[in-house]
Amino acid sequence: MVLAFYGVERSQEDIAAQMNIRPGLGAPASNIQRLQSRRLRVTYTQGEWQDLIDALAAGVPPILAVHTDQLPYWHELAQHAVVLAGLDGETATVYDPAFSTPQQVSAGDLLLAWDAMGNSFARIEPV
Amino acid sequence: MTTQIISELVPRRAPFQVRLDGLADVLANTPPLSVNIDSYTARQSVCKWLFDEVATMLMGHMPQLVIERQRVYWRVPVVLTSQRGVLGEVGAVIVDAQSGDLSLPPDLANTLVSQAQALLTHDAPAAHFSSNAA
Repeated sequence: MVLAFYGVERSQEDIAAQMNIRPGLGAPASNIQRLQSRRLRVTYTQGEWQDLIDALAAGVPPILAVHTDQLPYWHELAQHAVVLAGLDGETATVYDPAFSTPQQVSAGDLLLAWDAMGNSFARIEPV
Repeated sequence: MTTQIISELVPRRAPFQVRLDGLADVLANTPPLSVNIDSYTARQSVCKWLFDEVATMLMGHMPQLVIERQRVYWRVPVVLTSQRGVLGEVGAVIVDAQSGDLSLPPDLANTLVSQAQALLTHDAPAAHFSSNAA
């Protein structure tokens, strides 16, 4: 999703193989750093809300680890990752791979969902 | 002797102290046990470790406070999830209720993954989505 945003064309199977994703289990999220290349810088760290605002201001859509029980548009309990595409006042727009269209959620709910996962997030940005 | 208290029955905010009335003969001269880490924080730490270091589909579930002799800790069940929800329990992580330290034996991550894979063989393949966000 974020790679496509930067115009990097790669298949899901190719990305899954590089991240060592196991069917049904996923992979350690920190494996996303394996996507680093000469063209892309990838960081996976713990942050604060301001770090997300800063990333968006820099044109970098951060990938957030979230607990779905805090996201009103989810009905199942799971750990998940969403791409934060924008913040407009108290409303956040996220691209959730489980849904075909962007989702809007209150910034408060998103903050709770992110906090429940220890505020981990990834930045993928062009070098 | 082990006494377990489910998390709904203890204060949500740490610190607090635990006194076991009715067990005075067993715990004579035992000072109250301090709990500095609340259930939310215990679960958050486990979820973060699982997601960051083990596998994104493994999740910390509802913590149980365990009192064992002079020790008090949180037992956080680890469950395998999918987009359909929780598929089943595959183990647990112990969190020290006073320090917040996770007890992580060297083989714990592999054991959890093995148990999850065994569970998957009895269930339909679950979706994975962490690569989709990237």
